[in-house]
Amino acid sequence: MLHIERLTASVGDKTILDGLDLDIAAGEIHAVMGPNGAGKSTLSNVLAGRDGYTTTGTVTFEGGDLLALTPEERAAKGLFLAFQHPVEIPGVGNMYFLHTALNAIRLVRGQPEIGAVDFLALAKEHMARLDMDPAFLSRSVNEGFSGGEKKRNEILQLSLLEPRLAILDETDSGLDIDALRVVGEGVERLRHPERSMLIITHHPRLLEFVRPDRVHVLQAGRIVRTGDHHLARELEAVGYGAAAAR
Amino acid sequence: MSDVVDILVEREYAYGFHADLETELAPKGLDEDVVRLISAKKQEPAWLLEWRLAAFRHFLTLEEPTWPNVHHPPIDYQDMHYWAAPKPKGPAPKSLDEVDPQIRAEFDKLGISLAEQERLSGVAVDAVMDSISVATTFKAKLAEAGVIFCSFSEAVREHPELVRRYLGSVVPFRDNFFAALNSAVFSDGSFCFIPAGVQCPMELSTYFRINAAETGQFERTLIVAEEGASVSYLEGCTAPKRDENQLHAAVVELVALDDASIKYSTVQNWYPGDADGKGGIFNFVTKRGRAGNRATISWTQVETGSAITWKYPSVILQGDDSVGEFYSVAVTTHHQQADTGTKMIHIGRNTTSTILSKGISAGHAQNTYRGLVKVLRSATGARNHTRCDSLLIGPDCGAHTFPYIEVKNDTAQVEHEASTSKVSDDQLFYCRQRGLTEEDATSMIVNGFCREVFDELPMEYAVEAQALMRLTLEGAVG
Amino acid sequence: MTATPAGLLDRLVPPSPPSPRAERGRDWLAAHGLPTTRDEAWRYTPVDDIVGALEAAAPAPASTSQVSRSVVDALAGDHGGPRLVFVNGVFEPRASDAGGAVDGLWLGNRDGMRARPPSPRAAEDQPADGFQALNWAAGRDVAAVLVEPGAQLDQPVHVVHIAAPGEDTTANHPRTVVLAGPGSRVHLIESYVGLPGPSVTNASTRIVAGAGSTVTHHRVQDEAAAAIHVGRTAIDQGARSTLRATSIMTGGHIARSALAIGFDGTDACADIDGLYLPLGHQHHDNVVTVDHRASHCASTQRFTGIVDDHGRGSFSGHVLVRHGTTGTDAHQSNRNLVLAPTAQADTRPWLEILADDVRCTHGATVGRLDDDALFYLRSRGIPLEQGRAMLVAGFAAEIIDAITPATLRDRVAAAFAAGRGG
Repeated sequence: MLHIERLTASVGDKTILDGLDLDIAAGEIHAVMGPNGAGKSTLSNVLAGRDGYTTTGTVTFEGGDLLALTPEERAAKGLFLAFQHPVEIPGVGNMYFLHTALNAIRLVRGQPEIGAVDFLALAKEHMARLDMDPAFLSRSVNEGFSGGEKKRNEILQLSLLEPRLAILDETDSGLDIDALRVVGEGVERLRHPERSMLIITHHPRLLEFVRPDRVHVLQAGRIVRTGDHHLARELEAVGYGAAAAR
Repeated sequence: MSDVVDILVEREYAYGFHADLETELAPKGLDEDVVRLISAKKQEPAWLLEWRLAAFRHFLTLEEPTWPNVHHPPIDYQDMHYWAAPKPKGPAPKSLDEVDPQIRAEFDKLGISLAEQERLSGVAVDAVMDSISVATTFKAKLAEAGVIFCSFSEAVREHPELVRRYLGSVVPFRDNFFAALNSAVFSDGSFCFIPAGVQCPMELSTYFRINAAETGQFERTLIVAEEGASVSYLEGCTAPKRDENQLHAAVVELVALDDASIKYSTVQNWYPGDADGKGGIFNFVTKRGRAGNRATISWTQVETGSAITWKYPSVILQGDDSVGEFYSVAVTTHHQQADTGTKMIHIGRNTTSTILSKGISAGHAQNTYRGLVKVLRSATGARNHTRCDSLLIGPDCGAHTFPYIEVKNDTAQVEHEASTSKVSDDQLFYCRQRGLTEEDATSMIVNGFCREVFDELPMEYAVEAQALMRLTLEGAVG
Repeated sequence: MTATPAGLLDRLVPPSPPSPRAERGRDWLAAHGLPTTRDEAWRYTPVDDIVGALEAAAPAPASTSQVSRSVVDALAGDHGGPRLVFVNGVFEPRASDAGGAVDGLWLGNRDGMRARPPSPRAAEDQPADGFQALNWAAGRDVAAVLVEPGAQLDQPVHVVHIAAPGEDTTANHPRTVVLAGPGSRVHLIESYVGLPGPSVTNASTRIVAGAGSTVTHHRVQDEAAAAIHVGRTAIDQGARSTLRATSIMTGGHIARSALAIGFDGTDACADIDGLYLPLGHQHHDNVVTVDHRASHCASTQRFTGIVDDHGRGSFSGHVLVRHGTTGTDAHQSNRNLVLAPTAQADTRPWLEILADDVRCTHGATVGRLDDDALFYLRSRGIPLEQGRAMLVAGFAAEIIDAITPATLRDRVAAAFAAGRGG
């Protein structure tokens, strides 16, 4: 599904990712954990195609060169990024935005458009599962949302857009325990043999609700250790420095 | 981003056709004889001719203003026609069925089917081509409510006492260069009168169309809402693509007596010129309303057309507790220049005004907000809130914000806030990550940016305005 | 601009101007004249009254017998560092303390400047307006502050311009030049003060902040009640320079202060504060232009006006972002408090943006004291008038508290309190 080889990324003369290797097979959930400044957000930005990074190395997604694609082409191929800080877009209704995005992606996939009425029903069904008030749909995208509401809105989009690879960038930060459970259960429900997930996080909190197949430790721009979900516990117990040294 | 700029630059004007209608033209040039000719053609009473001549003589003493932030080659006021009328093929139409089919076809092409408007949409339309009103729909139904909605010429014939009382009462011909010019040579326009206590039973609308070449268009709109009356009025404007610049100098006067309410919406889409800035309408318009006690005047405008736009829809808040509003979206692309805004003159006590302006500039365009909030000594308890936001698309355009705030009352509260920025990279990336193309994302963000203003338009036109915005911004893509 | 009567020129300008700059000023003035209120930048300035006073004025006498050190201390304060005193635009060494011992600092006047190599820029300068042209043509001296590259000056340099009128209205044209070398740090205080009587002060200041320099500039206009003041301060900033500028207006009858800041190099920043307090029939007019002609510069304007009695306070702020620049950050705010039914506040916070990679905001408010805040204070037992005074002081505090050194801050606070009857 995703194959990353010797990926480097730099901004100006500052190297942030420094020869990162990572393989994610279909249906797997991987967690990348690391201290602040390890390059976690850069990894998600580079995979989603944000401007401003100079990269070397290869990233293959579904058999094609990911780095050559525009952000919207990556989205259409099934790559989804749940943002750490979802941006506010004043005046653009959440429902209108989601509906447009879904149909843009369906168009590229050769699927028929979904009409407004059907979409509304679909959105409400997904929202109910995430314990979201339908009033969210009539508000502007992320505008005036609390931190928790923004994160839930990201998971709602994740569940509606049905991506092949979902990257969750610090989705657990800023959530209280109840919101964390709702988000975690939402993610767990989206587990599917054809869908992979990459959970990028500083804390192992979300991993109490979502059990990853593999856990990687990211430090100074590369993966320094890989293990199963027990590694997350270990990190919590002894910290990044000690865990990485083993 | 450069893709978007390219697409903006390739934007096509959808209303650029012109009809080969037979047109009656006055000779080029401007002098007293032309003023007399126009008045005679319209069989006007002597008092109106005298008023025109007084305006013309005053016009001769004025110079074209140079303070607006727009640049254009000098306008030769002698090198254009001041009278152009679709030549009537017989006596004036008594009903829609009698309107020249070719003219009807022209309006159909613009998406303003006069017959359909009458049958379906429940919006009364006055259609004005080359300054001459060609048809007014729904007259009978409006008459039942006591509402007068007709062409300006008809109003001069049928309701001279009303016209005489209010003409020039808000925008005197001495007001400015273009108002004086219009007062001297205006050819037609719309007249609305809503008697005391009447809520106008439907939206009123005028579509202005310039068709003839080398012709200036000078129409005049006068709306009077008597005590406690209310009306919502919309004007739309288009013109053919022509290489030369054409002058449009209109005057709009609104009179809202005590407790009356007038909502005036504009969707202005005159031909903006081509991608190199050739051709297009010079749009120099004076719009002003006077609000009585507890009256409300609300201007909403969506300005996407014209090579040059110069207009400042204003409200004189004369009555106590009167309310003035100005909601504006101005989009400029290519080499368009817009210098637009408002004046809110607070005279009465506890008067309130709200200004919300959204400017979007792309290509090589220059977009200026110019606004005056003036609180006179008498305006105890006056309040104003102003917000002006500008959005820039591409490195070669400009956005300018020139507010003037003058306060002479110590109980007034005036707040002004403004921002200028480009379309946010974060917003674009977020939309693209969800699968939208850069163009769609830009269009969506820009429409969102304008949303609060679109929300002020009558429902029927909000959709039209959004579509127009998308067309303006997407051009070839749409 | 109107043509200026030749008589005015001849009366105010010496027949044979003493320098090429003076000659340029005279030529420019003869060609373009003085501005009028039809000139946009002078819209809120009672130019006719100023020109009228100039027409009635005589060149100020150079007599300085009234001005001793203690008079200067009383009028402008002693802020610890070296002090240059000019009376009616002419250097007064007896009241000055040129501080020759400070490392990396050269202070002087025209005589001293003539001994130094001329600035390469000086030959191309053109006046920005008629008043500056008149300043060049009629000025008799110049205050010069030259800071060597890399010099770090700990104590403020104080330039005091005193108007000392005689019986009739007198006109004087002080000029100040400050060159802060690359990497230097300097704190400049310019005081405009005067003895009682009718005077017209037409001041021009030029500050060049070299690359990487840090310049603090406080300009205080606290002239006598009958004084007319027209001042222009132009500050050109080199790359990576930092400017903190403050303009305080408390004195004068009609006073205008124009501040023009231009970024000549990238990554520079400017913080510009202003406070004006027209009382009685005073008219205080502020004109601020920030020209972002280089990329990646940041500017912030904070101007506060408190207008009372028959006073009129005006603010015209203009942010210009030039075509081809990127990464501009510009913010502008103007808050006004109108305290009397006969007072007037005008504000024009302008943005002129010709590039798209910008973040610009501005805000302006004109209003009265917050009733809720006043009620809160009264409910805590503070009498109405005292509560009002507290809130008015609070409105000005943002600007006053940021003034350095403390001696200057206290002086401004005292002038503020005195004007408010406190």
